[in-house]
Amino acid sequence: MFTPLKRAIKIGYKNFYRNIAISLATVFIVSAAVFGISMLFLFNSAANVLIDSVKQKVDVSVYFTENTKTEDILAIKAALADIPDVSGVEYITKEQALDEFTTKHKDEQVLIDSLNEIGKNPFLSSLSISAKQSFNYDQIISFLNADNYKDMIARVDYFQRKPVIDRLYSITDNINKAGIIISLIIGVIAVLVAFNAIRMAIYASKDEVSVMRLVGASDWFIRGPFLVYSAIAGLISFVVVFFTVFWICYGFNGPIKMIAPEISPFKIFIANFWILIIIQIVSGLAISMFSSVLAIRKYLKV
Amino acid sequence: MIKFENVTKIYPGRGERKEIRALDNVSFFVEGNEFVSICGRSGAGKTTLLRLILREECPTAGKVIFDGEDLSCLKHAKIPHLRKRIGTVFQDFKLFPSKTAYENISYAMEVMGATDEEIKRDVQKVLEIVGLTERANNFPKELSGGEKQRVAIARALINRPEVILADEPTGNLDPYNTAEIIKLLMRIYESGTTVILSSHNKDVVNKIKKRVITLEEGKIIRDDKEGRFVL
Repeated sequence: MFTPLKRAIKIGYKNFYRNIAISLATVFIVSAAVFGISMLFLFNSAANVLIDSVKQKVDVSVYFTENTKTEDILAIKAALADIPDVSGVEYITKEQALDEFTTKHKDEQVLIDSLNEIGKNPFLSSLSISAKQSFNYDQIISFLNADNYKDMIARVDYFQRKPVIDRLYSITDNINKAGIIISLIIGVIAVLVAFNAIRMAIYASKDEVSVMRLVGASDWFIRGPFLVYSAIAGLISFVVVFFTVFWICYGFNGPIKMIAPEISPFKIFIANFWILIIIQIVSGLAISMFSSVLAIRKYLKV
Repeated sequence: MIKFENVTKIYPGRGERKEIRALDNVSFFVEGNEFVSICGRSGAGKTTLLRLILREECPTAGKVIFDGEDLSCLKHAKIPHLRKRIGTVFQDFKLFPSKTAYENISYAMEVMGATDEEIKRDVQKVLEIVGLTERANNFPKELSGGEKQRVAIARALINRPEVILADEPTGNLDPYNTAEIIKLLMRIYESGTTVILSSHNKDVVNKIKKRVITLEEGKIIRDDKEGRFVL
C-alpha cells in the first residue's frame, strides 16, 4: 500500500524541482493567498483582544470630598453592589491613588516635582464601578444623584464604552469585509496560477503519460505525482507564510504596543500558534490541490 | 488466446477527409506460445490490429477476445490490468527521455507494484538478457537505435507478459541491429511467450519462418502456418 504512495511522492518531488521556475511561481502566489488568510485571522484575534480590554474598563468613577468618612464610602460601595446593572465596585483610597500615580509616572520628573511642590496628597478617595453588558448606567447615575450623597461626592466621571465598542466593531467589520474580498481575489489568482503550473507540467509530460498508459500504469499511478507536486507547493507555502507571520509578529510587537498597549502581536501569535498552523496548512493544501484536481480532470485524460 | 471475430474498424471521415476502413471483417486466432508475423504494406491495418489488442481502440464491429474476455466491453479501469499482461515494442521505441535505461525498465515494474528488491534483481537480469548491463545508467539520447530498441524490449519483457506486441520494431534499425532484435524476439518466443510482430520487412519475415498473416487494405489475404512475405 505504501509503495505506490512512496513512488508517487518520489516522482512528484522530481517533477517539482525539474520545473523549478514554475514551481516557485506557484509557491509564491499560493503563499500570498495563505498570508492574506493568516493576517485576517490574526487581525480578528487582535480586534477581539482590544474589544475585551475596552469592555473591562471601569465605567463610572466616583470621587469623594476630603471630609467623607471611610465608613460612608464603604456603605455607598455596599449599596452600589446591590444594583443589578453593577458588575463590580472597587474602593481606592487616597493613598492607593497616590501610590498608583507615583508608580506610573516615576520616570516623569516634572510630574513628581509638581506633586512634591503641592506638599500634600492631592488625590481623592474614589469608587470604581463596572457595569454589566447592557451599557445601561441609568440606575447607577440615579443612585449617585440622590440628595443624601450630594455633599459627599466631589465628582463623577463616566466612560462611555458603547460608542467606542460600536466603533471598534464597525472598523473590524469593514476591515474583515475588505480582507475577505482581498483574500478571495488572491485565492482565485492562486488557484489559476497553480492550475496553469500543473497544466504545463502535464503538457510537458504528455508523451511520457502516453507511454505510462501503454505499460499499464493505472489512472492514479499517473495522476498521483501531479497531486504530490501541488501538495509540495502547498506545504512549502505554509512554511514560507508561517515564518513570515512569525517575523512580522515578533518584529512589530514593540511598535504596535506603543500605539495600542493592549495589543501584543507576538502574544496573539503564541496564543493562536496551533490554530494558525492548521489554518495555514489547510488553506495552502486546499488552494494548491484544488487547482491540481481541476487541471488533472481537464487535461490529464488517462 | 487472442481471437478476432469479424472485426471491422472504421475511422470516420470529417469534412474533406473520407472515412478510413482500417480493418474489414478480420477473423483469426492466435494460440498461446505462438510467433505470428503480421505483414502488409503501410496503411494495410497492421498497427490498428495491434492497437485493438492493446485496447487503445475499440472495433467498429466484431469482437476482439483476449484470454476469453471481450475487449470491447472492457471497462476503462480494467485496461491497465490488460496492458500489464502485454509487452509492447514500437518502431520509435517510446522510451522516457528523462529516465535512464535502468529507470525506463524499472518503471514498468513500479507500475506493477513490485518492491525495490524485486526491481533491482529483475532489471539487472533483463539487462543481461538484452546485453545492456554496461548501458544501464545511460539516457535514451546516449544510446544507439539498436540499444534503444533493446531497452524497449527489456521493458516489455520485465513483467513476464503473456504476449509481446512488436510494431515494426526494426523499422529504424540497420541490418545488423535488425538481426539482433529478431534474434532476441525469437529467444523470447522460445521461452514460452506469444509474440505478434508487425513488419513490412520481407527479409525479417522470411527469416523467422513462422506463421504469417498478410493484410491488404484491411483484409486478411493470406494466413500461412510457415509463411513467407508475399505481396
